[in-house]
Amino acid sequence: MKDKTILIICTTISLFGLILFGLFYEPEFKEKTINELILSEKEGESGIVKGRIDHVIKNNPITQFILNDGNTTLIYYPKSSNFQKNDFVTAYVVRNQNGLYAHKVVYSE
Amino acid sequence: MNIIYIIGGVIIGTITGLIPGLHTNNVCAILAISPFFGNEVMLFVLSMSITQAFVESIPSTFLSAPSQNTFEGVLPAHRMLLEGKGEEAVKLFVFGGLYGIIFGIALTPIFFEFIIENEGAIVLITPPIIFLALIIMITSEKTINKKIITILIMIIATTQGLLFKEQIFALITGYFGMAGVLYSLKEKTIHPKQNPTNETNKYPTAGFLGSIGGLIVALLPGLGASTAAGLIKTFKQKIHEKEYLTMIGSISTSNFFFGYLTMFAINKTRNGAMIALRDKIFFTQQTFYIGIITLIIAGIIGAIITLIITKKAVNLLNEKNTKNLEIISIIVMISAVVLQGGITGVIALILSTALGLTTITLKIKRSINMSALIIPTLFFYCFVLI
Repeated sequence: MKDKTILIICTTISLFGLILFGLFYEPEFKEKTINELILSEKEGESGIVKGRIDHVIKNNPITQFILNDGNTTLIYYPKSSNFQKNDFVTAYVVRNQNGLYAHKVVYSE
Repeated sequence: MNIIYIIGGVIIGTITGLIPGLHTNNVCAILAISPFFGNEVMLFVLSMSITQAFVESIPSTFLSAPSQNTFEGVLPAHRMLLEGKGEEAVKLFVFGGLYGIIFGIALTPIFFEFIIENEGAIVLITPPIIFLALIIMITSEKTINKKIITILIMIIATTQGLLFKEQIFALITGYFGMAGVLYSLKEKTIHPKQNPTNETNKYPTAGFLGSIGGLIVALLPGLGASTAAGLIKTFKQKIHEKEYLTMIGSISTSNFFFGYLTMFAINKTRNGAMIALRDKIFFTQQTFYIGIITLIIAGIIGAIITLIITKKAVNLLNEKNTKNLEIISIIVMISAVVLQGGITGVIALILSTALGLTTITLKIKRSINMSALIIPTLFFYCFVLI
């Protein structure tokens, strides 16, 4: 087979891949509720959860707090912080076997 | 008794290194969900991984079937093969690998200190370095046309990386393994008479640069050996073919070395073998030293095995045998992808093979396909982590 034929076939397949991307791509971090993340059976499920901090277990050297968005869950954030009870925050989390692990937590606007 | 686990690791690492499509990460994935625990698992995993880092240079040189780590060295290695210097090419890679281990040991105290003190800063400097790597990939193409095509391939690879974020194995197999083997199947294989070599490697500088490359790969997510080599080439323009192979060998082994150190220093790692190990060992000083000694012993055994197999392979490989081995490696690669990723994996494999073949036929650097990992990582750092 000539290189030109290979190129035409491969380019067509690659462009078909772009169509698949347009049809099926879902952003990794979408806004979800705590319930949706906890009920999901998929390890590694990620999402953005917003809520009020019910209780801060510790702030240093890592942060652990209970987040409430109607349901409550423990969130583990591997950095120190100044979060306090009743702060409204947005957390980018991934579900793992120990609960919700936050990559980033910021104050909600 | 512990030597049994090292020997077991070396044997499995030799098999996974010799058969394109198989990878120690497949074995590690099984180990990660197994009940095995403790230093024995570590001895096995480290021996297996470092051995594969050496042995995979054989199919990369003789079968056009590179792995993610070795594909950048394939062109110079093939040129040498066609000149009857296939054995010398593998030898250069092996010496590079040994340099990687030597410089890895030498840099251990500095690296350990550095990573603990600068963990936060590393997160901050990661996006600019990744961005720089992407710019280098584009600007290293010589003509405007090729630069534009490179950007288009980058975009397509990124969409594949985002769409198949859980099928990294299938993507990498397609871009580098499958595409290379399929293309070489259509070519008439020429195996000129191979000359024995007594090459004693004289490129310690390339070995040292390679270990810096290994350090970059171990620390910065998304970057592979090829991209690290590209970054180094930017600062040291004239790298002789033989130096380049030495450097790639060094990146390959020192990456494991620094991956292991990173895991111990900050409990983070981006190396598949280390991810599997992380939940399997106790992080004590004794464990740390046992791991380092294992890497050194298994590395030396892996280097010797690679040289012995290469001597045999040189005599065995003719046109017919090579074609048969390439067909077998295609079957193994497809089977591994099906087992690991199912139907989604197969779709990812087809798309990534097509893109890999596109870069080969257009004579664009194949490392550009790594954008499938690099750009989603860049997005993650910019929009989530920072």
